[in-house]
Order: sequence, then structure tokens, then C-alpha cells
Amino acid sequence: MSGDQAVVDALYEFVARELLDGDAEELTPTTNLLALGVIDSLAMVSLRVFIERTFGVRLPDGLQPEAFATIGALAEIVERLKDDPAAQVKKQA
Amino acid sequence: MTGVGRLDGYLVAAASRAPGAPALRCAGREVSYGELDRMANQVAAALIDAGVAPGARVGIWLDKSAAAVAAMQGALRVGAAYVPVDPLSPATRAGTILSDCQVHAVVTTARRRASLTDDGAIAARALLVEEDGPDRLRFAGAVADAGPWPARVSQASPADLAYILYTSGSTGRPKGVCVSHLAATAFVDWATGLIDARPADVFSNHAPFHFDLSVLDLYAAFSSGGCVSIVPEASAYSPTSLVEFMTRERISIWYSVPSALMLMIEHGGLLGVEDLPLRHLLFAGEPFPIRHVRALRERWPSLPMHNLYGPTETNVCTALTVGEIEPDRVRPVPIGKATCGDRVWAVTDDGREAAVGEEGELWVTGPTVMLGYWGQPPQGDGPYRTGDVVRRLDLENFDYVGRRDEMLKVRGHRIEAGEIESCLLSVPGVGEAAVVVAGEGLTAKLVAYLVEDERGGQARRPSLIALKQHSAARLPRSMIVDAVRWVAEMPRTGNGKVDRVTLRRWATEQKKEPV
Repeated sequence: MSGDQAVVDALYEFVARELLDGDAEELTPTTNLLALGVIDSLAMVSLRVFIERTFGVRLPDGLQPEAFATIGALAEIVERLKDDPAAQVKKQA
Repeated sequence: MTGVGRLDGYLVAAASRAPGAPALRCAGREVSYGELDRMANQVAAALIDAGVAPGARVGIWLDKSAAAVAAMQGALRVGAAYVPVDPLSPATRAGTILSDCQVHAVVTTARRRASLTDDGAIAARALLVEEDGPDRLRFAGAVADAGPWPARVSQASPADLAYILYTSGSTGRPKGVCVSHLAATAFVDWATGLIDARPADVFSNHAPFHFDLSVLDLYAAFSSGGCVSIVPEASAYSPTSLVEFMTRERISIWYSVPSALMLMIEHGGLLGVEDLPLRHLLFAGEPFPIRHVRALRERWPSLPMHNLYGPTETNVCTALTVGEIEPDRVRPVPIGKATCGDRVWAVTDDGREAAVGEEGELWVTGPTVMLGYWGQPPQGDGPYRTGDVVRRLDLENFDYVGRRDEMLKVRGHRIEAGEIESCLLSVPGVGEAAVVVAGEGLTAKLVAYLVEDERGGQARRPSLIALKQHSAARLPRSMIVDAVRWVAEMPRTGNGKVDRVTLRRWATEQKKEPV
């Protein structure tokens, strides 16, 4: 699982608030959000924007939808990107 | 090439004219007309071996792929009809569909086949594709071993059934729209003429094969000898990848729901594209907010754009080529006038044909109208009543106004509230359910209003996640509700029916506890 609980928590809070109408009962980091119709193209766009703003990293464009399937899987990707100089979002002047 | 009269005629003709020309691009692989023709014959031979006779149905439950297209063509070549099933559909729903129309054979993977639980679906002969996925071209078992099949168009009548597309049904079960060769080719020939399709064209295929939009992508390409490039599943979810796909693949004919284009405009940088490869842009399936159409028109003043309209039951029955957009227009562009040899008119509530300026329900007759719903009396020559309310603009043009009934539209998906409601009602603890749409365009959401069932005593209110899990095992993803509001009782109209107008207002106002 992810080494940084803070990333999981931030993604969890975003998914609960923005994608689940604030109703997070029974939501876990392993809930399959793709199969439950929580994640669609618009949700992926908003998650990308949230991740850029919160963690300062940009998700690769060609990422498969499965990458967004669970909060845990997405948190692991964010963790890896935090150590990848190429993924850092450049600060706007 | 027009006037073939059979939907399988286009590919056969194109393959004999130019066997080396590209027919299909999928996951970085190109399949020539000759190769696709051979694959279709392979499927046809296996279907014959499996006892599939003219008039039978063949289910296709596969990801979008060359194999899936070959399966459709193979079914037609033996005089059977194909039934494409949503690859994202849960096994229970796929089984319901396959058994409803009594398919004789199913082309699918071993894994999908093993997941079927419905007796009718299990009884069908399975023709297996080795593995799912867009780059899988290999058939397994019976198809791989099938002998040669002489390439020819089946000799059956154009009035025969060509395919069945299942749509959401208000009674809780999906219903199968039966489309004849004649109806399909009337549309394909019209569309091919509209865009003056040619062998150099590259068509995008954005819609899934169980959506009628895909009929244009595949068959207008085959009828003109062009190439159809299948949008990879990963790109379908990413607006920037969609725009990149359009430019990289040099798409000349793009056809999709407006939602996809809205995402590409708002989040994919479409309007920033310098070297747009498009010759024609077509959209259908839902109203396209005028500000986006205006932005496209201002960015590319000479790009032909077409708004196509028609429920699955009539295929495209009206269309409008977007001209100049009046600066003060706030409504979406009109749906235009009758196409494909159809006749359309609006009928007012008191049963008259609507005069110019009046609203009424759009009725359709003509060659593209369906044969009927599977298992129900045939449509015959009578008009198909669309359930769509339109305003008559002049002698032949119409504006779309809205629905007469509870059918919902979310990002181009047609959804019967009743089908979702009957699914939610099967969850312990749910006593009453009514589903409405809040918002519009990209932000449209399905909101369920629920009343707790207190008869059982111990059943507690299921959570949103629990309701989604229950739905995901029974419904397509587009029909899984986004939000739930528990209410003490449903608002009712004077005659006791659920007051959906009030529910829509509550949902739009985001009221969590309306009572």
C-alpha cells in the first residue's frame, strides 16, 4: 500500500466530497470506483486538476482508466510521481 | 457505393475493389479490407458449423476490436442478425439481453462466457475469441479451425433483420430495437452522400458498437472504401488524448455525442489545434449547448458541421447542416428537416399536425424506422411516435424541446428512469424510488430520491456505495446513480403520481433534506 497516508487521505476526501456527493459510508481505498460508475471522463479530468494543485505533480496523458480504479492505486501513482523530476508541475510566474 | 441493399454488401464490395486498402485501425494495428473480409468469412464458416441459419441471432460480447467487427460481418454473411452487447455491461444484463432475443451463438471470450449465469445465454453456442482487447485478432477454437467460406453477400431480402440494439426499457428490462438491412442502408447511403465520403477518408469511431452512432462510422467507411480508426478505450476517458488521437490519426470525419466534443473543447485544447484534419464534424444524441457550437464555428468558419437527430428506433430521421449562428441564439441549433427518405411531422396534444410556431410530439415514418421491438408486435407502416417534443420552425424544420415521458439523457446515454428505479427497489430497505437528472451537459447527474421501507423492520438505509454496488452488478455504468436523497415521502401530483418536476427542482437546487 501507499507509504504516505496523507496522499490517500487527501484523495479520499476529494472523492467523497466531489464524486460521491459527500456520502462516503463504506468507501475504502480499495473500492473499485470505475466499476461503480464513480469515475468517468469528467471525474478523471477533475482528479487530474486536483492532483496537480494539491501535490504539484502531473499524471501522464496516456494513463489507462484502470489507474483511477481505486484511491489506493491512484495514491501509489502520485507517490511515485512525487519522486520523478519530469512529473513536477512548473510554478506559474 | 450505394444501392447495395444489404448491410454486408459494403465490405464485400470494398474488399473486392481494393483488398490492400486500410479498412480498420485499432490499437496501433491496421487491418486491410482483404484481411477483414477473410476474418468475416472465418466467422461465417464457424457460424455455419455451429448451426446458425438465416434468420438466427448472433450475440457479440467483446471489447471494440477487429474481431468484433469481423463477427458482425460474419453474422450478416450467413443471413443472421447480430446483437452487440455493451462490453462494460455486467454479466447479468448481458445474459438478459442474449437470452431475451434467443441468440443461437455468442462470439465472446472464455472469461466472459464463464461469467454468464442466465440459462438462455448459456444455452447458446459460444464462438470464442482468444483474449479480449483491441489488438487481439486471433480467434480460438471453432472459429480458428473453420474451413473456407466463399465470400459473397447473403441472398436474403433487404427487409430482413440486420441487427438488434438494446436500449433502456421503462418497465425495468432492456428492449431490443430491431433494424432491417433496408433501414440501416437507407441511413448509411444518405450519410455517405451528406459527407461525400471517399476512400481517403479516415472515420473516427468513438461510440460503442451497441450505440447506433457507430453504424455511421463503420458502414459509411466501408461503403466509400475509407478507413475507420477506433478510439482506444484509454483515450476515450482523456480529453487531451482524444484531441491528440484526432490529429495523429488525421481523422477527416468525426462523429460523436456532443459530450465528447465538450470535453475536448473545455479540457483537451481542441480549439487550439492548428492543423485540423477534419472535413466534416457530426454530432448526435443530445443537445449541444450553443456556446460550444458557436466557438467551433468561429474557430473554423468553413468546417461543415451537422446536427443529426433520431432515436435508435428511427435511426437518423432529421438533420441540420449548421450555417451561420445568429448572435442572439441561446437554444441549441435546430434538429433540421427530414432525411433518409423519411417523413416527419409534429402532432399537438389535441391530435392535430402542429402549425408553424407550435409544439408537438415528433412522429416519423419512412425507410429508417425499425421493424419493431424484439418479442413485440411489428411496427408496421404506422408512424413511430418518438416521445420527443419539438417546435415547428417553418414548413420543414424543427427545434428540439424536450421529452414527454420519464426518459432521461445523460451525456448521450438514453436511460429509462423506471429501469434504474426497479433495480434500486430490489435493495432491502428501499421502499420507493424515483430517479431524475440534475444539471445538464457535462455536469448532468443521476439523483435518486428514496423512501425508506419500514415494513422489514431491521433493514437499514443502504449507503450510496452499497446502492452503487448493487446497481453495478445489474446495470450499465451509465445507469448507476450519482447521488441519493432520502425523503420521508415522495412529492405527489394531484392524481397521485410522483411529482418529478418538483424532484428535478429539488435535485437542481441541491437540497439534501427537502422534507
